[in-house]
Amino acid sequence: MLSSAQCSPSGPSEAAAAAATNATEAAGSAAKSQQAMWSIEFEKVSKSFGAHRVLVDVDLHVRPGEKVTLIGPSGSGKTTVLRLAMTLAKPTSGDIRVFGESIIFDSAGKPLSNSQEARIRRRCGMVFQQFNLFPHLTVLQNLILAPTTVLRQSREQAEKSALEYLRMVDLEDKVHAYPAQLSGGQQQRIAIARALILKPEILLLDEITSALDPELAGEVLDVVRGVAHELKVTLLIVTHEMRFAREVSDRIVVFDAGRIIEQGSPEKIFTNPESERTRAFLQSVLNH
Amino acid sequence: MKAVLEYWPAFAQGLWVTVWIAACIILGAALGAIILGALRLSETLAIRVASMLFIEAIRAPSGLVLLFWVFYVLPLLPGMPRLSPLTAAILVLALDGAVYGAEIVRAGIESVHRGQSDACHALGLTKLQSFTSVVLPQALSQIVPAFGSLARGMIKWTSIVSFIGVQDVLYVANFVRGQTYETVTVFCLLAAVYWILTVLCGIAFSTLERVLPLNRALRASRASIQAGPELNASAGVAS
Repeated sequence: MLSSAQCSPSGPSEAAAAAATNATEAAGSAAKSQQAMWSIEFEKVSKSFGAHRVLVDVDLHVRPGEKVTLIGPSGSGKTTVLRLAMTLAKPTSGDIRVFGESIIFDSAGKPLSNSQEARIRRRCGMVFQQFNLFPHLTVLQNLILAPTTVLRQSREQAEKSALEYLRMVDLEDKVHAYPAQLSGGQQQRIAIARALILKPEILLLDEITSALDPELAGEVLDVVRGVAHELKVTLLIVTHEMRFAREVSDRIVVFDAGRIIEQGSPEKIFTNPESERTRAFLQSVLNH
Repeated sequence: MKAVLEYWPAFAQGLWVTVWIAACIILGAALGAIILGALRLSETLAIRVASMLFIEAIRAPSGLVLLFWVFYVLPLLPGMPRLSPLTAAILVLALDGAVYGAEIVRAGIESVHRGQSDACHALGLTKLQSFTSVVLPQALSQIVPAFGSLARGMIKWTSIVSFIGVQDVLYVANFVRGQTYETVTVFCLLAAVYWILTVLCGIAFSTLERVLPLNRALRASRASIQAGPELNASAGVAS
């Protein structure tokens, strides 16, 4: 039904990853992007707002096609990780790489130009907690805005593509509706289609069901399950839906006070967490 | 009254000048307001401060004082041109309108939820594309009603241009008053002229409000709520 992202999942060892990183650095940015073993890398990333440290020396490596869910109490820095990856914020220190290319610095160590940043950013898509659909545009216009302005696609081509993605989220009959005419769940499904239409290789999902009641959240999670199953896109998910996280993720990363306190397979994190803090958090969420 | 009406060709000429000036200063103010309003929100501190200082410098003195300065004092400075009364009037009043309008535009842009810009960024739109395709069309729903009020006020501002010799409707009215001594009649006529012009301006801005994209979307949404779930289902709208 859909053309999927080009990357395929792999499971490199640490040594292989390090060797791959060295090789890509020498080969230049184009080769880097092709050979990168990680779709997204956080290297000692910290982020502060004034005196408040939101992230502290975060190291996170995500393989192409991997589904990683970030969990943790509110204010632990999960959303900031996604915003940094989407270049919606700049880290205070550290480096972030997308398919081997830094989104902070160029090869000479200078800050990236807007066009360089935009080129790398195009490989990522993001869906927000509050949907952030454009209320003055119809569903179809929301979907074709970026393809026609950013990718310079013809209107016909963009509309054809938009209809395919609307079919995928089961909303092709809402083409001419405005966002305010849709339920929250439908708006979020449109937001997912809008992000996917640009064929991102990395999709960042930021608490996409937090603003929805359980019934509507279910329909959105069904769409994400479909995306996770059908497309080889890398997923970085922030959610409080623990059952969904367990079901869809390859790896769970637990955050607390801006640090990664534990990570591992869903099975390990949910049945046998190492950290007492993880255990307490899961207990409070699952008993809620 | 009859004596006054004998001067109708002069009144018509004066009215045309007033309408012409009003149209020019409203359009000029709108353009200037968007530029200054956007500069007020620039990410560069120097641009933000410079635009703020410029706005405060123009907004502080009365329009009449500015008009005298531009028309009488500016030509005394070396290298400065002597402007015609009409040009000076349009320049000053448009600039005055632009600095008031800039604050309306700034507030309108700031009223657009930050998430809209984030979504544009995530979709890869440039700042200019975000501004023209997403932020400004939404901000206009806040800007246009307030700017409509300013525009009505600006029509009345045109009455000061006669002080530098522009022959607008007030200038003609004063001339006719001197000729006929029918002060009450002339000023009743003037009041009617300004009332009609401001009402027409209000209608124009109300029409503009109706066609703004966000207002159109909200109207469609309200209509679908009133239409009920059955009709919505057939129209492809959430119930």
